[in-house]
Amino acid sequence: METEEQWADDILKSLDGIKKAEPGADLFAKITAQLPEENDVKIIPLQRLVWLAAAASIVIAINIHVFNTQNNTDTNSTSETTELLNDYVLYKTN
Amino acid sequence: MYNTALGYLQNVEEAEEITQDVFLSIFKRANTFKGQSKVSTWIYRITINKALNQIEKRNRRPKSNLEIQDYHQIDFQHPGILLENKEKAQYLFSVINTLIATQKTAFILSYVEGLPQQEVADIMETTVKSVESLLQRAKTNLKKKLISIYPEGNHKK
Repeated sequence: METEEQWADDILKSLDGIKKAEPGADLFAKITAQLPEENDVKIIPLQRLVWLAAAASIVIAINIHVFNTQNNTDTNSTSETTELLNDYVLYKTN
Repeated sequence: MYNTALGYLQNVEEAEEITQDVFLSIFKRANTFKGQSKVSTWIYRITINKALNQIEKRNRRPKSNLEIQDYHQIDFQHPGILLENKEKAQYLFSVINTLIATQKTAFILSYVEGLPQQEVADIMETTVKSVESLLQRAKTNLKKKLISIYPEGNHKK
């Protein structure tokens, strides 16, 4: 007859050789079915949108300003070149 | 993670529910993972916390007499137990939940999940020495509990 101690020691060894339990085959399907529902659509707060719009407007304004300045500079430099050419008659005029 | 949850909860439906919950948590909180530990360690921590919370919830809920009877029954069969150990393991699982959380975690991760002590220590954010000590105390406490439920007239086969 085994003693209580021996019995308890045997019970403690009963997990030897244990294999991992696998879930039911449908668990993965259940999880994937839930994923899109759980994936909340991110909403950008209105305040952040206002800031984004303001920043975009400033960038556009700077671009327009730089573009206009560049055009004026080009026009000025073209007229200066024409004057220079006329002054020195670098090419024949008929 | 299902195996770990099953070790704690000893109930297939609840273990599946926790597994789903853990997957969804990981999906939602993936960006909060700081990379300070292995991904598996992080997932184990989430699973353990959820399983312990579930046990807590289960204990808080008022139970009917039938449920109390079910709770004290020695009938949980872990599907991974070797056939010759099935009956003995039922006794062991019936007393695992009497352990305090840290001893239970060290015991389940080491003996049900089969993780090396270093990994158990990482998951529990402690040292290997502490894990060894927790396992020693867990075994002593389990042995005491088992002796207290020793079936009358038990003979060695």
